[in-house]
Amino acid sequence: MNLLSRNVVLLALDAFGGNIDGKTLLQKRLYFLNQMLGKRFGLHPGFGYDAHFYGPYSGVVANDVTTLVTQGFVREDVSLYGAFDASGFEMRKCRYELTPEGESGVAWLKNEYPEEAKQVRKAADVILKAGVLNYVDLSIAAKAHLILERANRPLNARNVVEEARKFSWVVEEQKIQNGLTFLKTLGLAA
Amino acid sequence: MSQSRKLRDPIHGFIELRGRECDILDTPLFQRLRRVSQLAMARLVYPGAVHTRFDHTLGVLSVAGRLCDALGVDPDHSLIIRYAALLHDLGHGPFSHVSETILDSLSTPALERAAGKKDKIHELITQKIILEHSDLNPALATKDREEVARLLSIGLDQRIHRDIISGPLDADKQDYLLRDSYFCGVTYGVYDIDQLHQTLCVGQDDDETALMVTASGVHVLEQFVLAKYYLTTQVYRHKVRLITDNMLVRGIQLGVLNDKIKFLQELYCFKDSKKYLSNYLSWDDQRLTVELLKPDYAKTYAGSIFRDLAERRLFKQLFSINLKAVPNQVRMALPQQFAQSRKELEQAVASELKKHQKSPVDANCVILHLYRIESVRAQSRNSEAPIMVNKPGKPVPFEDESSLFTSIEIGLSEEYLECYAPVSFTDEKQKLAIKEKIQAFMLNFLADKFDNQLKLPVQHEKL
Repeated sequence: MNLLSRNVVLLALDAFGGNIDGKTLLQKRLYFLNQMLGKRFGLHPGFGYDAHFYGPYSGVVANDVTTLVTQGFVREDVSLYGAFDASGFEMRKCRYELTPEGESGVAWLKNEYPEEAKQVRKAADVILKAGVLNYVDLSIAAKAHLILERANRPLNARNVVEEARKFSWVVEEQKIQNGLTFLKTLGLAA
Repeated sequence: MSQSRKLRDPIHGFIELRGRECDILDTPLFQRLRRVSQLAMARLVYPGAVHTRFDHTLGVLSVAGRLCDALGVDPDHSLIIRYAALLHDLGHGPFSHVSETILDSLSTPALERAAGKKDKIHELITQKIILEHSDLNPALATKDREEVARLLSIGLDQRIHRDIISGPLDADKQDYLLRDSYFCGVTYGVYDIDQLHQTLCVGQDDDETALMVTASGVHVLEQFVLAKYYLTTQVYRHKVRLITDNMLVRGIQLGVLNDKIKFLQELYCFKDSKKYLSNYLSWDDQRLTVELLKPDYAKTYAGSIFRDLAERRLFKQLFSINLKAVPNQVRMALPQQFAQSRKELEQAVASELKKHQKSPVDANCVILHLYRIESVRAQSRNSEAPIMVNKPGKPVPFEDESSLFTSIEIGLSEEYLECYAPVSFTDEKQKLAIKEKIQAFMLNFLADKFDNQLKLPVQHEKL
């Protein structure tokens, strides 16, 4: 891909509406964006996702976001919760939003790299149309995708729950079912 | 199979090599690492920095062994981890990371992996050596070699095995921080390794076991991450060290592309063949330097830059622009389009220099260098996953758990554009005047190039 990974993150933030609430949601949306860019357009932004706590994680994306915040293209607002929620996620909630400088950066990117910008927009649209999942549900969908990829064979929701136990993941079958529906809509599961 | 052997090391004391590890040590392949410096030409800044990949590798073996013992890794996996520690740097070329940069810059897009992650060529070379090189035949069984290669690329059954060899707390970092500090004669990289090992644990989270620290290890971890940050800013990104590294890279690149020196082309244009690998492994710092200093190459770019390095006639920094000081448009466009704009910018600097100096400077010897120093918070994860603190109930990322790190501004990360060239100044006054002029010129040139509407007021970075 001709674009620096950080500029793909910037275009993605714009394509997802100009802001994303939460590090986990950002990581997981970009996980699926990465999948869709590869599947639909053969593009690889170089995010290098790897299995990690809370599901797939990209250190590249984490550092790119830091860079964009540092350079004033993205604003990070942190609110402290002081405790885990019922699912054990995020004590601190970070909101990532394009700044006016970020918006003009996006405009420049769209002008200089129109094809790539369109592809990022299309991939994001497909993800949003598949269902606006919250970060917990999106994480479950990402984990289900990871399990399917590793299994390399079709699995139903019950099978995925069983496979998940091997990873010590305890997930409800219904939530996995929702995740699989989401993956099917994206064309990422049979 | 040889018996065990103990080697004395200034960082870790006695390092014990057992059985087949001694056989690996005795291979010409491994002994070559004695002639590959750990920090390229950092010795021109820090005279003590003469340590090599050989000493570092033994240090990684020592730390990896201690980690396996402390974390209760079973003997079979410990053995593979120890072999991986010994073999992980075999693919380094002359001057370590310098060769890596050149190989990557001259590689073809065919090396893009399907996963979208571009392989570093020296890592590909390391894999090939481990799996195929005949030197290792008497030392290691094929099955062990395959296991080591798998551990270094994707990992084994448990994540913890890979964490010891590659991750934010791996044995490699634990050794190089202490070793580079010791040999450079600085204390920036020093941290309490014994306390760190006391607090490391195998944590269980949602998906798998991983290397973590206990809650009581947060402070020593802060020390470890700060050590990495300070060593980066004070040693790895030292102004003169950046110049020597860039001179090496540019000298060799010009040797390949302009001088068309055959042995450099054969060494730095990667080919996936046994012949290439065999030739690659016949080169080290010493052979490359001796070869390029021969009279045959005196008039080539490569020969001349290596002569300058040998006699410590270093290029000078002409400017250092923090990208925070440039308009948004430039800050966005320059990193994105640096590769394709670099030559044009270097030619522009050379033309501008001509106006201020009697002797012209060859544009090929003007080096523009764009680099960044990650914030201290980002340093705790680097490009890898975050370090996790094993709290009751749920592990949490270190940077969220440490009071010190949560209070550090995320915005401490910096990106710089610097310029180096073979200029000489008559005195300090002339030096400052020329540097100011060139910097002001570049700021305006960048503004003109990336946004014709935007004209910058001349800004003076501290020189």
